[in-house]
Amino acid sequence: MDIPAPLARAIIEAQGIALEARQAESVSAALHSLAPAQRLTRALPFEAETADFGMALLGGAGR
Amino acid sequence: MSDPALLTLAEASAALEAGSLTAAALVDATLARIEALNPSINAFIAVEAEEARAAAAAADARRAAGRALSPLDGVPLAHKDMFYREGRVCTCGSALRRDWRAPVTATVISRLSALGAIQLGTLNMAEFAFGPTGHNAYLGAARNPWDRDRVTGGSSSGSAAAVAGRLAFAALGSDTGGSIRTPAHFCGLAGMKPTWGRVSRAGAMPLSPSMDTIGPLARTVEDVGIVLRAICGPDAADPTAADRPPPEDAGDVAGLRLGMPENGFEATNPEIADAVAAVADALARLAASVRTVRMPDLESIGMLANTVIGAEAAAHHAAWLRERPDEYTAQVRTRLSVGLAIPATAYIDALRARRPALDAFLAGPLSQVDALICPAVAVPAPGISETDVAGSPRMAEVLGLMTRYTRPFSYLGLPALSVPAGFTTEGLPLGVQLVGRPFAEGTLLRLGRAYERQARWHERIPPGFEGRT
Repeated sequence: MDIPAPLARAIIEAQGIALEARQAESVSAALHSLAPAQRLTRALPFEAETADFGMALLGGAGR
Repeated sequence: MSDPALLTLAEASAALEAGSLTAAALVDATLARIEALNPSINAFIAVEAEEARAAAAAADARRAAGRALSPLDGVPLAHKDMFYREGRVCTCGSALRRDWRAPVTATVISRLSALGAIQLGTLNMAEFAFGPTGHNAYLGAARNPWDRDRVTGGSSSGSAAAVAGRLAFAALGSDTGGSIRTPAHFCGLAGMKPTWGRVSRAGAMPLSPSMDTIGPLARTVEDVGIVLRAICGPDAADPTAADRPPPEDAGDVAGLRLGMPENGFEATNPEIADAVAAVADALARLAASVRTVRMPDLESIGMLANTVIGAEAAAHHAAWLRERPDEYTAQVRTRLSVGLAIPATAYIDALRARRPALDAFLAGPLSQVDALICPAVAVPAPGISETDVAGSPRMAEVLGLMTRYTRPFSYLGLPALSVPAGFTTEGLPLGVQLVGRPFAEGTLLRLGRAYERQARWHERIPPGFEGRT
């Protein structure tokens, strides 16, 4: 996900957490690296919505 | 006789049972090594010598009376400093919790204590288990016994250093995205990330509850199995802990089917790629069959893992980031801050994609095989200085390399075992990763044990750690 450093800094500071400009650059770079995740989630069929949100992933699966 | 600390856990346990060694002798031997060798690897952050000696005396008395509690009774272990013990300081590798006393005891610690295992002390770790290298600006980096200028891997850094240095017979670690498998690979150990839900996390420091697992690091796969069976099982204090039979590792590998990924691991160092092929060949000679399998987009799956871990870790730490930011090191503060800017929709998407991704993986790469064999990490242990990126913009790239091959399987919740697989031409250990279906740890243990019985890499000892201290 592409969130420029100043915006990332603003989002985080709005939560009451201070962030230096240099750290905001790192945060922005790390957020950019997450982009491939959206390749998968955007390809999900709508029927893939589920109530368990992964927490009951395996324990109740009986596999 | 040679130093009893050089025995494997299974050998030490057998010697206790046979009466040829005492728990007191094992504790004295490991404490002597800790005193002599720990300063060079910074694995232990606290040593509990007198309590360990008292526990050994009690174990020896039980055994003499024919009332030994288990094969672990009297065996000295040590654990990453994130498993709570009621009333005791648990730093979680952080300055922020330097004086914090735990209100409860972790289920895994209670279970090991009930079986008579002895705790020698607490071990170094990445700050709040949030780092894959073994750096810790507060406690100092743990150092790799095979080359003390190299990283141990993390976040279970002290666990790996202590066991590789023969300062303890096994150690508990945690693995959220690779924190057992990465240090096991870098330090020449066996390490199991169990299925999510196999081992109770109650009383263990949370990082990302949707992903956190607890498992053992040990010198051999056999030892990993012994400890895993001791800690697994249902727990009223952790409703995610599944009621499944303990994973057994008896039996040969005849008829088991291995899958070698034909894609997804292109960044692998050639010596590691050769080691993976060699392990597959060795297992094939033992009557397991090997075929190639097509993998899904592992990079995307890994980033789904990072999305979940980032958001959940940030939520856990938000109050402290607000109120006590200066008590974090720069790298961890910056990495936690990433999660504060992940949109809630991206986090929820990453969670709801998990089940379909697992279903697709079981119907795809794992549909025709019992386990996958692949690298655990793309590279051998890098230098401590070259990976000391603190909170710089290179952070995501450098740290991502360490967990590229482990995080996808964490996201899928699958069990994964790192097995020692040899050494580079520079003498650095290499591991391979075996990945199985949910709750198929027993299959992975059988495969790993069959290979280690033949290869015997665990018999090599890091230079400078060989002799009696």
